[in-house]
Order: sequence, then structure tokens, then C-alpha cells
Amino acid sequence: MLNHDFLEIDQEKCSLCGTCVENCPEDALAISQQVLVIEKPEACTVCGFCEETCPEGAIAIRYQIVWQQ
Amino acid sequence: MAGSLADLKRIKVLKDLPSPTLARIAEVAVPAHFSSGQLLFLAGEHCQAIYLLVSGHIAVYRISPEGRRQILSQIHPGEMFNVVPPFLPEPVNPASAEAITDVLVYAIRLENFQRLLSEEHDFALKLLSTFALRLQHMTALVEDLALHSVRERLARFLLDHADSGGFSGFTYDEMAERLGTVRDVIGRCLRAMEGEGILRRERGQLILLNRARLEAIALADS
Repeated sequence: MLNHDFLEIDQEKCSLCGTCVENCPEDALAISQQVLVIEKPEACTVCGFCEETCPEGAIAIRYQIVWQQ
Repeated sequence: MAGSLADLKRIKVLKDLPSPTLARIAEVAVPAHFSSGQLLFLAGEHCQAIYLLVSGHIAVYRISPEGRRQILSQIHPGEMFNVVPPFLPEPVNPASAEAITDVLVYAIRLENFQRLLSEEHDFALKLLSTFALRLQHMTALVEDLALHSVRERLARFLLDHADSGGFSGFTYDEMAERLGTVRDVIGRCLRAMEGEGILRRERGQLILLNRARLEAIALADS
């Protein structure tokens, strides 16, 4: 399981279809050496599009639930 | 290997028991480690043991015929679980249990547990209080699932978890399992709440903005 803090990619479920890579509005994702990676974590805006469009359910965003400071 | 008295005294239902009773329990309580994601037992199987959770967290759940998982309760350190089967005509596990984190449990085999119940009356009485609390929790869960919409349950879930400041965070799937729905519905509800200015999503956080509005939704007063 690849985890960049809040974005979890289950590589066993990932079929490398590239749907998330194509649809990411910030180009934050990439397929590198047959593995889906978060190439630009700083660019991720947590829009959730990758999670919603993944046909395999391989991407999950983990949310901390907090009050506004 | 017999149970450690120090570990058993961390179990809420056992900690005030007289030392001789605790020693009897320690003789038959066997420690076991499970890794995160491991199944302890499955619903429908013949009950092998009753469990005492010393460390880590466990999810107790059932799966619908369509394959949807509904979490019935989360077991925290100091709690006892799978205590229902010994009291049933057919001692069958009513639900499944999976380790959410690495856990240390003590298992008491069914026949040893039944012997303890008949011979250690203070232990049996303490168990009744566990059942009463469990029944109270299940009644509240049934009421919640039957009488409140996903949006209302989600609002209550967000309020409770923001206020407790505890756990490590939830994915849409995990929220859906706890709220008796699917992740697409969670996603729609959260997007709607974001559009209403009740919360915003920001790099791994659901930041709640409007307590009054969330309380109103949770109370179905919208």
C-alpha cells in the first residue's frame, strides 16, 4: 500500500489503466515502472477525482475530521 | 501459556474481581497476537473462544448477501467480545471480527468460559453489566439506521469524531461501513455539505466549518 499521508494506493487492486493519471487536473499522478505513484504530492488538491474515477477502487483518500481553527 | 494478571487487570469487566477469581481466569486465558487485517473469527462458525482485548483495535461486522460490510461495533482495549455464543442454544459466532491494527488478545475457550460462569458467580454478574451496555449500544445503532438518513448519520459521525479528536482518519469506504451505506453516497453527501459551506476538504482533512448546521442536520431539523 503506497501512502503519501492521506492518499492511499492499493497496488494489488490497481490495474494500471491510467484513468486517474489522465483525469487528475493537477497531473499529480503517474505510472512509473509499472507502478502508480504520486509524482507531485505538493500539487494534489484532494479533489477526489482519482478516487471517484478509479474503476478498481484502488485509490482512497484518508481524511482527518477536524474543526476549523 | 497462562494469562498475565497484569494484562487481565486491564480488562474493564475483570479489574475489580477478587484475586482468586482473577487467578482462575488467568489459568484458562491464552494470549494471542493478530496482525492488522487478520480475521479472528467468522460469523456463522461454531464459537471456539471468547476474547479479551488488551491492545489494538478490532472491528466487529456482518456482510450482507450483496457483499456490503456493516460494522456493528469497534472493540477497544479493555473490552471483552464474542461473549454471546456461550448463552445460545447453538454457540455460533453472531458476527465476524477483524484486527484493524496489530492486536494482543486473550482467548478463553468456550468450555472453559462456561465452566467459569457456573463456578465464579462474581464473574457472571460482571458479565451481565457488559451485556446491558452492549444491548444499549445495539439499540442506539438500530434506531440510528432505521430512523435517520445517511446525511443525518454522517453529520452525527462528523461531529462525534471531530469532538473526540481521536482516531487516525477515515476513507469513504470506512465511513460507509460505519454508517450502513456505500462510498458513492458518502461522496455525494460530503460534496453537498461542501457546497453548503458546512465543511471543506483540504489535503487529507475534512475541516468542519459550521457546528450549528451540522447539529441541526444530525437532529433532522434541516
